[in-house]
Amino acid sequence: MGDLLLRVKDLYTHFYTFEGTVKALDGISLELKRAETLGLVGETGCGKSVTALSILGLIPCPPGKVEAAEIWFDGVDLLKLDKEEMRAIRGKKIAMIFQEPATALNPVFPVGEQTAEIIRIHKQVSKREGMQKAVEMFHLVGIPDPDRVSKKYPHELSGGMNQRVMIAAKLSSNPALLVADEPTTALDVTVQAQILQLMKGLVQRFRTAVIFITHDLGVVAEICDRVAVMYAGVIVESSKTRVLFENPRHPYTRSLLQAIPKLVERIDRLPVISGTVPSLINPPSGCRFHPRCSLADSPCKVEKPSPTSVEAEHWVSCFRYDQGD
Amino acid sequence: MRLIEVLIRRRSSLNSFRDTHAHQLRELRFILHQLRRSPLSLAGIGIILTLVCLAVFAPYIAPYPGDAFYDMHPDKKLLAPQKGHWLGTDDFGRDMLSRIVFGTRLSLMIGIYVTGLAVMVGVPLGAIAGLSGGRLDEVIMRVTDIFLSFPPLVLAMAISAALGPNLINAIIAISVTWWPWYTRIVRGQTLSLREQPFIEVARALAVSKRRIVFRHLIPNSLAPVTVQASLDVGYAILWTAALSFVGLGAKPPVAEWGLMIAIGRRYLPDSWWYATSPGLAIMITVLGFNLLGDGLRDVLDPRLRR
Amino acid sequence: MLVPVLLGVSVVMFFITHVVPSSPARLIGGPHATEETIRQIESELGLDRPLHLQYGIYIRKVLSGDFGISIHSRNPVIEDLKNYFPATFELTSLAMLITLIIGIPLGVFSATHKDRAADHATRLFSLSGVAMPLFWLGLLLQLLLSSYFKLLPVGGRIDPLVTLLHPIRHMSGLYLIDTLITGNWPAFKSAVLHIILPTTTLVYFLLATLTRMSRSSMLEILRQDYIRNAMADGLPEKTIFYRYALRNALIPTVTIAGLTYGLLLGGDFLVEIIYSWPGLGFYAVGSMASLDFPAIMGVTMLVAVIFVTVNLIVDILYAVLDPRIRYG
Repeated sequence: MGDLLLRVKDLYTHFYTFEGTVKALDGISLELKRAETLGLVGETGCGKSVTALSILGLIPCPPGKVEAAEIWFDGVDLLKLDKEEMRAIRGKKIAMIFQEPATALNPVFPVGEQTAEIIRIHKQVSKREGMQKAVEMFHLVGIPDPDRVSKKYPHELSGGMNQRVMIAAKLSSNPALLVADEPTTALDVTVQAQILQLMKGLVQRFRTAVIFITHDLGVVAEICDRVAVMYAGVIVESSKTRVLFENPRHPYTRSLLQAIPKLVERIDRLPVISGTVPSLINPPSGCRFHPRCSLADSPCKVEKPSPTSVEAEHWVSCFRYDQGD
Repeated sequence: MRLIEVLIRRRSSLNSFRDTHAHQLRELRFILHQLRRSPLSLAGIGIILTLVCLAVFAPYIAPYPGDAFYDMHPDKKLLAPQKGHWLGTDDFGRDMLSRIVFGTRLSLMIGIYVTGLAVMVGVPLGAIAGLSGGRLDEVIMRVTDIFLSFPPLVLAMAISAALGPNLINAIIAISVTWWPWYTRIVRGQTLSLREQPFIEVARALAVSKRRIVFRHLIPNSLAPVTVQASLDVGYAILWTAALSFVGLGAKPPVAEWGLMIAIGRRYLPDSWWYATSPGLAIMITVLGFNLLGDGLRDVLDPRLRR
Repeated sequence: MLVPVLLGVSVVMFFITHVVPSSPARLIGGPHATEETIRQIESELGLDRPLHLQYGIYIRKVLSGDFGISIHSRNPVIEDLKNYFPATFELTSLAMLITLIIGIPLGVFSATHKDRAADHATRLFSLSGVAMPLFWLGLLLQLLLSSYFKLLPVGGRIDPLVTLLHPIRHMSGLYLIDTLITGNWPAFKSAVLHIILPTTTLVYFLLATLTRMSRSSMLEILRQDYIRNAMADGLPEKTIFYRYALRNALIPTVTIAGLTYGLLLGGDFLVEIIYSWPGLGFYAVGSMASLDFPAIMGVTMLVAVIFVTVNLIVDILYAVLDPRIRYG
């Protein structure tokens, strides 16, 4: 296990609000090797982003509270670091790309200056060198005429161009881990494909590990080595990407995959998962999926299933994963 | 038996009220919860409740109720604070505490009148401007521009001076300078609401214009108006006091705080209590309304919620 | 924007001052004047003509630079304005400058320490500043620092005795600057001593407004995506707060500060009255008490011009601070 980069163990993130305690994460564990791309899949509000923000220490507290057995990253437990040490890791060793490039860039500074600022802080270089490096990075992410673009403000650039700027800024310090939170969701479909290709190429080249957060299984199939499926604050299944698509074991994963329309089959109605996403204030007892699960049995309502190994590197949190084929 | 029947019916009507207004009730509970969590807002509510009590029960609370009106005691002129006259006496030997207590009554009335007049003029105009758009909107907004480009007190002072300085005219004068703020708030609110999806949906469903205005636009504009009004009651009191202070408001012997400061000023620095206590009263009152307004803003502004 | 606002303002004020129950002619004539004298004064002042004609005559005169003669001071109104305005300008500008220097950092500090003791203290301070009657605060300061400790003069702009011995060469009309440039130290010292109390009073009030404003706009900005993004980039808090966030938060703050400045230039009446500061507000209150219509109209017009000009400057500043507007 020499090339392990990140190990999260029993991560619980809760928010204390007026309505009650929102148990956004309920014991998340995951591992990531160097240069590996992990897809984090699930519906909106299942805790994908909260997982990412918890790892980066960006959960505002109060109202939030992050607890875990450990968040081990490259030899250190991130939970034990103080504010300043954590800051030194953010952006330099762990970078994060947000969903909406238009609002994630500061509207009153030119994009080149913003990128140069990050480079300057993490590499301790002069303002001019920072700017030069920023322009180089812009060139690398395929921005045409990087010199000119670097002087533009975010509102003057297209969404795809802004996301390229973001990628350039984030990869400028050559981080070991890149967390990408739905980086293509806000973009046009054609632009999405370009950005995905760009990211795929760059992370291979820089040997960057990636946690790729998305609700789009197609995207996962395209760029992820491994996948973790999340449901209501829990990881229900994780495996190599190919294995998950070929041999899904958790009922939730199966219904997710069935809900993808296929070109070759003709069906009148797409299958849907009955029921609604549960409230995280008052989550269902036992397995959080049981109210919507066709296989649910009495133990499912009482006991919380723990990850079970079905085959090599394939874990599923379900009592009845071997049923209902 | 009949009684039980009535009780049951009332009970069920209460339940159905609960059901149909579940959202509003939840909202109200949320507001109360938020207010309770903020010590500053609570302090504001406490101050205002105390003032209201003082105003309502002034004749029973003030030690010498007559001193708020025409009583005079030349033998007790300008006494320093002491037993029996906790805040001292004024130049006519009147008890300061009694006058300040009665001044509360006057000030709260002033605040409510000014704000009420401004709301009654400003809110409908704002709604009309925002809804109609076009020419009418343009005219209304230009007029508010003109009123707002007077320095706040100049216009009020000119009106009060022109109408003849007294308390009623001061109230009118300040209201005249105040309504444009409400027009602006309500217009802005109406404009942004018009674009909201739920209004568009209502329109697409051919909900009548009247219903849109009364069910959606007005209730949703209420929050900022409420916040502004609760702040303004305090400011209206402050401004009326200022007008009285420069001689363009209340006239003696009215127990008005600003006027008391103006007269007390003549007896500085020896009779320091004369001018200081009414000023403190103004400050506490305005502070109370400010705290409440701020608290309400935090609660009612949905962007601040988590 | 300037022309319609000026026209509107002048119509409103003209209407208010001319359709009034009390007649200025009666005031000038005194209580014992006969009907005939009053009518004569009225015709001298043109008050017997129909209102719209009076207004037309007034506007025509104003356009040729004639604001009429002040009934009260018997000087041309324009001369009076020239004499009184610099005092207001000096006081207001100094107060605004100090407020900006203290208020903005204080607001940022309060916002970044939200709901902690320092934040509560700052909020309470600024609330008290808003709630405190300005004239009362002035009286208290006078009582304490002038009457009791005898540290500072009670009022006025400068000690007349000092100006007698060391006459001021009037250049800008701003005493602090004029005396400083000419090296007139005794007069400079006197001017400084006189301006301390009115400035302090005004700053206390302004600080309350501005701190609140910059606090709330900072809080708004700190919720934005790009702040979270900057945190994820590992930028130091100081950079994030004072460069990234403040630059954005300044946009609304500058607007409010500018508008307040414009309004105050029109006369910080209460402060000027308490400290007998010979500025525009002082002049205006005097003219209102004596129903000196030409003077009131003159002040009103000047104030409207200032207000519109300051608005324009704020708009330009806005564009400098916000690139989205510059190119929009």
